[in-house]
Amino acid sequence: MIGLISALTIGLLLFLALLVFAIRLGSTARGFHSVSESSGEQGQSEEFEACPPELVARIFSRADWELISRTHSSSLERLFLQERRKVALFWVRHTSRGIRQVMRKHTEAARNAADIRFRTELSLFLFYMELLLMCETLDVLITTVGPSRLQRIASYVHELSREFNYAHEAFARSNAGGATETSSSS
Amino acid sequence: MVDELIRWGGIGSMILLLLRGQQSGLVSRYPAFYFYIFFVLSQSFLRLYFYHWKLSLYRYTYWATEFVGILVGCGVVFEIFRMGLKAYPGASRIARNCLVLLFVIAVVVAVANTARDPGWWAGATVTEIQRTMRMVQAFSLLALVLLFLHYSIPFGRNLRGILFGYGLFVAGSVIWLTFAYTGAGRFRNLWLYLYPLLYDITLVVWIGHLWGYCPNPQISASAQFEQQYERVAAATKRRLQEARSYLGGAIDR
Repeated sequence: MIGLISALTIGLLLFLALLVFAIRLGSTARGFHSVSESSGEQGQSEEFEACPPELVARIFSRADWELISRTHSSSLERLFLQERRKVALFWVRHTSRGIRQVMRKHTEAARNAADIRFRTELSLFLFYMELLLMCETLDVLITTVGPSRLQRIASYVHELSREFNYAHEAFARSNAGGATETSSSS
Repeated sequence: MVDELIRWGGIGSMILLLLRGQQSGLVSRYPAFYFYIFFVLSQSFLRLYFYHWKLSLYRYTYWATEFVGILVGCGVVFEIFRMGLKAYPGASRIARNCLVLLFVIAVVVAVANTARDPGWWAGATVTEIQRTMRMVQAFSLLALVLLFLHYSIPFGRNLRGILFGYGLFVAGSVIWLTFAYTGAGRFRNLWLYLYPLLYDITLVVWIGHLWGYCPNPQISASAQFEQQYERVAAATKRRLQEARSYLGGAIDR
């Protein structure tokens, strides 16, 4: 027999999901109108500007920190850490926002695709959740540990988001190919 | 006094809901939902009849109609799925796969439990069985709501009301059936009031959302969206290529 705790959990989860659904419904409707009523220009304005490529490596580099620590000035060190942390947090949140944006665009397109694949969607979703979790973890770690010790994990996030982009690109390409075939056959 | 008020308030609300549904033409748009309301209204009168004139049969009637009500309620869940995702073939396909997967899991769990304890079905109380059936419904609704959230499916006022109301009722039923099952006598009195009251609250939600016809926003725009799909895919591809070169450059350093 199914356990009592799991029964309660399901009931509460459904309550919670309905609550989130109610809150997000207004914004979803606005999002829908933004896509359906406007053309590509809307998408253009939503695009986020990528940080300069060298920024990421530099944020998490120990070289600057080592240079500052050589001055033996505690106030300078503190100031450096504060500023570096702000920049690192900005980068993480910016990346997270970008990933969400890519996924939102993907779901908006995928929900209308008749040839959608369950396994691809599932793997993309899991990948997306992993990326978001990594971004949240990075956020916490930058706040608590500081950016200078996080170079490896930051690179890992980059690698994951790149794989995610590859997978999504393959999906978009296959759908675009299918649409072209359909239009040419008709 | 209070239970009479709850009971007759519920019956009055159901009659009002059916009348408004008939007047606004919603009955033909959401047939499964209105059939469910009609069934619950009929069962209320049937139970009243047995309660006053054939009390010995009341218990059997109550539980029999309760189980049939759950099965009819499955039609409401199916209608939410059908109407909500009608204009979204991709999301609809994913939802169908998820529901099939849930059904298979439920069957496997039931078979495993029966194999482990063959007398389970005979030994289980009516409340236990009802709770299990409501849990399957709750799982299905939860999966649907999560999919609606993930794919940002826009909802019209009518369908939103049906989903909120029924979801609220099912979630409340699972929680209170759990308490009724564990608490036995302690929660029984409270349960007798809360369960019908929960249904009355659900009816208020339905009346508020189903007073008149409001179309689902996606139905009229689906054709336009189909045309936009290639453009969206091309724009996404371009953005991802930019992002890839940016991220690739960062990692190579």
